[in-house]
Amino acid sequence: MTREEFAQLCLKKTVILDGSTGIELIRREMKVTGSIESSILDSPDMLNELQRQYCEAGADIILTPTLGANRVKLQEYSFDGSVRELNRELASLSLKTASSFSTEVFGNISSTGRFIEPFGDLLFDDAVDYFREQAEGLLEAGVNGFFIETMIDLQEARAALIAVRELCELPAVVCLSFDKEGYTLNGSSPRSAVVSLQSLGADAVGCNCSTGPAEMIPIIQKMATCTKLPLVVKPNAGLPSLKSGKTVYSMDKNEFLSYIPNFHKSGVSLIGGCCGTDPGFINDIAVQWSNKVPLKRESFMASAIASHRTITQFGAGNFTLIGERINPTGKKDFQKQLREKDLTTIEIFASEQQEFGANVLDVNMGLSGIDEREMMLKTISLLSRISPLPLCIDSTRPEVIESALKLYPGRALVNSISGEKDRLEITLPIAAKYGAMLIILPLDDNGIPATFEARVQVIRKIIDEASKYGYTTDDMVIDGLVMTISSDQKAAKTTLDLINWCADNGINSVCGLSNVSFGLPQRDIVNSAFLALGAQRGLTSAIANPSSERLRKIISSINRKGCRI
Amino acid sequence: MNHLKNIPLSIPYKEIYARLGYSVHKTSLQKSEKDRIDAIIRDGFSLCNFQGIYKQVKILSVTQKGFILESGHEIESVYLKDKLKEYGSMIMMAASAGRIVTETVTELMKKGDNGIAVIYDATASESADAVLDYLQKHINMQFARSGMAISRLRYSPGYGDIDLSVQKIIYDILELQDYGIILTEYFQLIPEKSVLAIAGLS
Repeated sequence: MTREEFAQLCLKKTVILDGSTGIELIRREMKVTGSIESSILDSPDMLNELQRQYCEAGADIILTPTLGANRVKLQEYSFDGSVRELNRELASLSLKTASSFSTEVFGNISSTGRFIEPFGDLLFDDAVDYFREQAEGLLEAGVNGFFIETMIDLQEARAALIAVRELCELPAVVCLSFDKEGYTLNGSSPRSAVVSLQSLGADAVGCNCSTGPAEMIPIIQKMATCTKLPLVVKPNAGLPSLKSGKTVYSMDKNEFLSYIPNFHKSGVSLIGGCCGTDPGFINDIAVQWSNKVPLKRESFMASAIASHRTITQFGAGNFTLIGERINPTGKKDFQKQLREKDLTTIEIFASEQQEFGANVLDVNMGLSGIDEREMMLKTISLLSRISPLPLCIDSTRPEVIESALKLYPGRALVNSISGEKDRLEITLPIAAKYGAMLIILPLDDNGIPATFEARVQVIRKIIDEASKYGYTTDDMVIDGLVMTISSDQKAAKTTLDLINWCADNGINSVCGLSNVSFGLPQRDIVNSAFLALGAQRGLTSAIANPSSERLRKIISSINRKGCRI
Repeated sequence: MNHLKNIPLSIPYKEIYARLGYSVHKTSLQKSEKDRIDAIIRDGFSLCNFQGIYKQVKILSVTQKGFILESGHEIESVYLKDKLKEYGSMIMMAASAGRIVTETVTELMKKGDNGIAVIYDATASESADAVLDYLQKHINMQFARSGMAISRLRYSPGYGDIDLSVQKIIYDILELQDYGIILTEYFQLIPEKSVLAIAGLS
């Protein structure tokens, strides 16, 4: 099954998924010694029977019984065999059962149970390796796609999806588990999860496990506002309770089924069950819903970036303020601290800029005498924990950008991609791999074009190159390239014309505001005046110091009237 | 043994305010006062370094007075027996907000900044409790796929008839000395903002 075929299937009909596998096998009294996955190999007939029932019930996709078949999880059971082989064997069992039906088999991948950096001690690269090892086994068996599920940490879901994408172009579905309050255990919101995962190449996103269907409806509704991807739900049969020493799920299939119309109204395309559901549940869902065409969702939030907790959207009537202060240029005390690897000022700058209304934090660690990569990673680790704001990774060095994007638990903005050969050939593919949004800088190897027309030409070239990696102009913010008016008084007009062109073409724009006033007195007044002029032409964001009250008043006024795009 | 570091907790403002004596119906706070208290809470929270440790221990038998665990330990508590007798295992949990916040509170008290110290103290205490909430959710997710679930409530030494000496049993089972936590002869935990608890696992 190709990704396109999967997308078409999700448009054509409500795709029916299977229900619980592990818990249902235990309920059917499968003998468990060690991990569930290893135990299934000792009882292949029980798995065959269960999965045959799911296929007969009308499941379009069943999942391999490999939820916990990753190296870390298996180590808890002292598993000393080949992880790859175990996955291959288990997937082969499912594929054999499904071969008698028109059912697809997706390789199931889930949590290691460990925390990944920047929150935990498991290295991101190691996590990707563990998931890659599992995915390789599943691919060897011939799975038709991947289903990454029951993830409680967005960062771990990112690692699993990156591992799959490094190996193949098969469809990949990603589901996280949210609690009753609508957040993952690590505090990720549904919108943050969706913005981050779709940018990494997920083919469908959604939620499973943890709660019953009632609690999932508002989560799915939030997800639906910021993606065009198919949405997936696999709820539990209600919440678990203890009866006679055993965990039971309270909801019967009729009650479960009563929630499906709400999922349909919310635009869900793939429906199945998780803990406490069985082939009876899936049969009833399939009978009533498999021929229903999922609702088409017309609008969604484009141009969004995300921290692991919140998102920031560019355009759509809101002005985005990118806080510029986490940058050592011209700040002697801050430079001294960075040389001593002291992050105290970064913490203060982050907190102050947030309080002054910044929507994004720019992070630049370019300073002679420090390891830029090391300090960038330390800063991202710190900010991911203490600040809810999405980050803008500001560096000229591709290796710094790559390490930063890999570690960042969300979708970052990259500052910047220009028309220079190195940026297009090295930095752009890196940004694309990690799904970053781009600030486009209209300059190339010949320097900064003097005229507006020449700048547009460079921008068009960059847009063309970026489109080869799947980027659209929704994923870009054009830098108006503000030059200082103290040396060239016509420069400001060129920038304003470029901003105008962006607005006319529905593309977001940004400017590094303080450049305009370099070398002038009363810089705050000049900056603010230029911001107002830019906003009149359709400017949608600025990199600036949010502590300026004058600036904040202008932004507030822009937001009251609404940006042009 | 399961050890979670750098737990990404959200600040439990509601609980911190409640601990400080704030009541929605009785307390009147100006916006500027609330902003200032919120800022101090954020500062206090940033001084915390949360970690959680947990382990599953099977219940070997239920006795008249309590439980005998697979580790060989015996817990005497009729109260706990009533609550957890249907469970096959116990989950022993420890949560800590780290050393720095407690040290800062002590320094502030010495300097006479008692107001800030009290807010920091409440922040660390409630956040350590929030770590236990976090652990319970995390454990539930880990065990759900095996058809197991953790009890909704958890119980700490000193609660009901659970003697404080049970701190020592949990401490030993979790080998907390390896995680920078000390238990004094009077069963006090250092860092002070550390809490231990027991829950049932079906």
